[in-house]
Amino acid sequence: MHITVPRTSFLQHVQRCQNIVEKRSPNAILSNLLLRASNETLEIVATDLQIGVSSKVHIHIQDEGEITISAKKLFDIVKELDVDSDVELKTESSFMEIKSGRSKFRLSTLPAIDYPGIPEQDTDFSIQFEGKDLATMIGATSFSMSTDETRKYLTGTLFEISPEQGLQLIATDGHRMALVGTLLDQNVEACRAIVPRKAVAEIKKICEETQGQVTLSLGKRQVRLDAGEHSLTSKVIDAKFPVYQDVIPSDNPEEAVVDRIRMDQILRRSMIVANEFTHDVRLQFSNNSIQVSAHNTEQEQAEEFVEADYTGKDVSIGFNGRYLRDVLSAVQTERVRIQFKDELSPVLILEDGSDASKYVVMPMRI
Amino acid sequence: MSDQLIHILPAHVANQIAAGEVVERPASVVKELLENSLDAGAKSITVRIAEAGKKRIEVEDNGYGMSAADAELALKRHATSKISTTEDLHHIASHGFRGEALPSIASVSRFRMQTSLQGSHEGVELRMDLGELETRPAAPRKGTRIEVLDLFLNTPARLNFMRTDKTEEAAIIEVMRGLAICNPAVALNLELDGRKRLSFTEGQNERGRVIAVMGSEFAGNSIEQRIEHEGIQISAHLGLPTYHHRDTSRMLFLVNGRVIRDKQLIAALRAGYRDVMFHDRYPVAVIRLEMDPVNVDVNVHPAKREVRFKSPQAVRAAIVACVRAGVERMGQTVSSMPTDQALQAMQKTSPAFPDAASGSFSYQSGSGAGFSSGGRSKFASGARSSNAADLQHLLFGAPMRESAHEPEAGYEIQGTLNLGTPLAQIHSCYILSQSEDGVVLIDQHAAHERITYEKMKSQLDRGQLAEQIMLTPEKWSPGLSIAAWLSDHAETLKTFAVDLDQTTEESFSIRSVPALLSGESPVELVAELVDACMLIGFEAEGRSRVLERWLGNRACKGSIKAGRMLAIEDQDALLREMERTPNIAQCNHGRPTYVRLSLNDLDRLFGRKE
Amino acid sequence: MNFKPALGHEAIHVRFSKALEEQRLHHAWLLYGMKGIGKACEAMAMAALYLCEHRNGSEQQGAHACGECHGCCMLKAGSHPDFIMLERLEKKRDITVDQIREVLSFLSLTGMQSEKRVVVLNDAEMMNLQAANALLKGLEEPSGGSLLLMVCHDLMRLPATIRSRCMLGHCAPLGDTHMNHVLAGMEFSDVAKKMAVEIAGGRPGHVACLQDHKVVDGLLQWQALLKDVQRADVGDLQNWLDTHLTMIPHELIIDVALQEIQSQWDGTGSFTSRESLLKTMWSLAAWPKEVVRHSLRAGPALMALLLELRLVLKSCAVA
Repeated sequence: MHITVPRTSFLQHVQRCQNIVEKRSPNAILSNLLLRASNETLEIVATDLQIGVSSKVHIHIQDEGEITISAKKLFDIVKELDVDSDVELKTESSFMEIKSGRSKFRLSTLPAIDYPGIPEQDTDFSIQFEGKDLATMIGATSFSMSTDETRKYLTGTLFEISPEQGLQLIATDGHRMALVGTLLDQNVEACRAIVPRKAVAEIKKICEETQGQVTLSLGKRQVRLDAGEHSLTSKVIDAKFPVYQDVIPSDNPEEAVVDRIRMDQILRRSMIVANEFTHDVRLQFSNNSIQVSAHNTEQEQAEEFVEADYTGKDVSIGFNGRYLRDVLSAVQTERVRIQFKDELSPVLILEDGSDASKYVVMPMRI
Repeated sequence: MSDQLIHILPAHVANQIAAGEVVERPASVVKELLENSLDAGAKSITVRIAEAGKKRIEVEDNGYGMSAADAELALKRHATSKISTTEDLHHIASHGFRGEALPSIASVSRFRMQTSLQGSHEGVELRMDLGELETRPAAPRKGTRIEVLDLFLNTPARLNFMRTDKTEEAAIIEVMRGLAICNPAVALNLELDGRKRLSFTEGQNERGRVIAVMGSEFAGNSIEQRIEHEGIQISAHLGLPTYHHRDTSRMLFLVNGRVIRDKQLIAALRAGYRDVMFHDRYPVAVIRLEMDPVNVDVNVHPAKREVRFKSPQAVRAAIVACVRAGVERMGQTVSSMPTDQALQAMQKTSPAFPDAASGSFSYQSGSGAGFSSGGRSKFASGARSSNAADLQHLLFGAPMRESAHEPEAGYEIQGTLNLGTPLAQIHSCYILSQSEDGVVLIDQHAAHERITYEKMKSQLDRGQLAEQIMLTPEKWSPGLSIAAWLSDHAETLKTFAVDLDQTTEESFSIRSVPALLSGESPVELVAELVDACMLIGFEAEGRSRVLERWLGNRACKGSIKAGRMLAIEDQDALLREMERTPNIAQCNHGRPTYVRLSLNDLDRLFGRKE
Repeated sequence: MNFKPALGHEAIHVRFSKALEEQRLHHAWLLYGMKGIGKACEAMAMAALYLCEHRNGSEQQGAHACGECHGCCMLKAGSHPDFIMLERLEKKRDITVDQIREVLSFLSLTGMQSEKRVVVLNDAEMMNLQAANALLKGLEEPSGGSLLLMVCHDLMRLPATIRSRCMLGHCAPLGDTHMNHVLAGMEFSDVAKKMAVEIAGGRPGHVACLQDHKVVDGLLQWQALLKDVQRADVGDLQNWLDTHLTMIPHELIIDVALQEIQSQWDGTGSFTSRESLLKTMWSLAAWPKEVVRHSLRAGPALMALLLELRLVLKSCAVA
């Protein structure tokens, strides 16, 4: 392999990829990056054995080829090189020579065939989507994922595409659930995948950095994101996701509508004296108002009223305040609708005027 | 009772007593003879051993002694002055009751006894060589003197089974230690091959004797705790949680004045220390239990080292309660051990200090050799003016000589903990703080972990547990036996904020979990909870045992990690929070949370003071 | 590392490859048998075959991995994303529940290269109870494409619930032909070779360390010392133990010793002394296991047995 690349874009791409590499892998080759030069393109690949990312740069190639090289060393070297000079990479037996201006380095390499690389695409269906929007959707659901490794299926986010609902993202930790959906203007086939937590975060990162559309592909054993020069492939969680449709209450008789920001502020204040581990607060719904109250074991208390559009019967429900605040910060609209039945049944929180996003929170018995 | 204090046990009583040889090694001979002496009201006993007891064991006391007739009777099987009816068996107040000790010993050795009854003008000397009894009159004396020569001479098999002299001597010392603690007022002396090994003075109080036996370092690193629990009186000398040992050898249990080695008792003691000590370390403690003899069967083990309690649960609960109360009180005291170790580590480069391993004294670090003989002999032999003693006295203010007589002096409850003003954070792991009399080093993670844990625990103790209802109930199939048990007790789990629904014969769905632990795996949490309940019942102890363990995990996860930078205000806040927190001296894995170095320590480190 | 089927275990390999061919592969296999006969090698060969992209081979011998495709290369380099190998960590007594959780977590993700993913679990009998229970849960609900290959030396130490969920494969010690073949592949000096043939007993892994001449020299010294164990200098014995116990596998030391005793003893002695000789040899044979099980200090424990042996041999000679 023998190539020449502009230093600035090369650094960007190396940086993007080296983030994913396991810094302390016991196996040397797994802390390497794969460089593959062919068809006037340099592809840089990194993997942590669960997620693979790759970046492509158009460059001038003297000799095609592929090789792996330490991610950290390559990054640290390129970072320090002269900003305006080009970087020349050339393999020589089992070493790689890096030249830029008057600097010259020789790094050891390992053969590309031993490197996992990025597997071939094996997905059922792809959609095009605005990157920024996908990032927002992820942000509005990912907080509900569980961290309990014994229930692996809850530690990811379900990505689901269907002709009826379009794209939906669903996450739950067994106590609450977040569902965000958007209708699509393309013809789609039904497909779904549970994307692991780490991949969700990486997808969000790439989407945020991308201007314009990304391509999201879902398959039985793979999720894939193509965003301009970058692409990501990840394993998915091979398990059954809870039937989320059953969990969403459809006939909650009472509804209160409240200002989102005010409600959030009140909760934030009240939680100062709530139990600092369970964050339990009580919401007392009565005519045109909600009373938020909290107290802790030291007998400290907080109480505050907020006006709300509510005309139903008096109901008092205990919550984990954290869960409510998570929802309030994920919702976009000025006001939110809180639908409920009694103090022990699931509570549904919706945006004002839209049913696309649904948040279900289970009450707490205090 | 008549002049003849010793009877032959009626056959039916003798038969009730478990058969078995008492004499298995020299230490058991020493034990039997000492117990006889104590029963005879001796105030001072001297034991002389030659060749680890194989050659000679001599026990001399100043007790009541025996008449010639008694003495002769004592050498017959099942003679005892203590029990004569079955009822008496249930009220064993004195040590030996089996009455077979002397004849057993006499049957495997050459036996010599000189004694005379108190106040009498004639004495007697008995010799028994392999069953041949020979009696002759002798001059009167105060008390009894027994010599056991050539032990096991006629049973070479036993002799073969003897361990090395060192081991046998250690066993004898162990026996003496136990009896010394049981009888603080009695003077005990031990000579091994003519060298003085132990000497405990007459008329000590309990705390004084405990410290004499456990070593002076124990004085500053332990507290005394007494409680009564369901008719069981416990007086305990509990080592600080940070003053631990690598095995169980430094725990001593006395039940009604008898040294007992019992797994249940060890387990109970460890349970008491559970959340303040490393799981693979063992507490150092002396626990004395007094209870109605009716409630304890001493007749299980021929050497009486094991007992059976009528209500093991009550005994366990009593010990746990006692330790908990003690730990609560020591709350904020860190043992001097870490400081010790710190100093030791630094001393290696300093010629001004004797090498800790030289044997002239012993700092007895946690990994040090057993019940260090150095520590004990230092105390016993009166060789206290060593450098080491001075040093320790200076450093830790735990006066050694005085501590034997004024137990309280060696221990000081730090009612108000003052950790001083934080100066800096070291390597994002430790906080350096200046206190009134020196510096304090604080492990930020350990400290914060304990703070979190204590907070959670207090919520557990005080409040009703908040219950987080599940959105998607978890399925749980525990198997038939547990399911059957649960269908009888399902309601009780409600107190743990766990709501179970039986779905089929052997499976359940978990509908709610304690909100405090809502991030944990519901199935594992409930399974463990049920396990614990089945094992130990539903009392509050069981509940907190399980929940506390999980809280410990959470506290660890939720705490400030080592390696996090803290602003000086945060450091200060952490220190103040620590001062308010009970049990702050160690994190819930038993590591110390802070170490003090006084100005004195620092001066010594730099050789400014001797 | 090559992924050829391990010598002597062809039957299992054929069974495995056939099941694979016919797409009726059981999701959990358990290979058991003595230490040092190539079970783990065979498990690796099976894993490689399963993951290989271009299998080749014949009907009779079963298929084997090509050793050249991307999958095989990654497996060799230890970088295959769909493969993990688990064994007892150094300084740990057991395989812990955390390790098993890691396995389950790995299996609950899909494969990267294909739907296949493989776990090789070595020393399976070292799992503690908690770990075994956790694994059991995973065994009960296998996910499609996952394969668990367990290797164990002591089948009965695994809970019955686990055994009953696995396809069992017994691995026997190697026959002479195979042994010669394997030994020919190792670099032995002449003395070492002779010794290896004598004590291997069909277990090539057992004598592999004889390729190190220091081990061979040590064992030769040992043999010489034992030639006249009744009169050998105790100091010499002690010296030998001090210097060699950490270097030479304990099983080998015992094998050499037992062999030496057998060759010396001419069958004389009274009934009781022969009995006690037998008993001593039993204790010697059990020594390596006892050391591990009870965390004994190896040196003193063996020394005690040697002294006992001297006594017994003397009594034989007298009679």
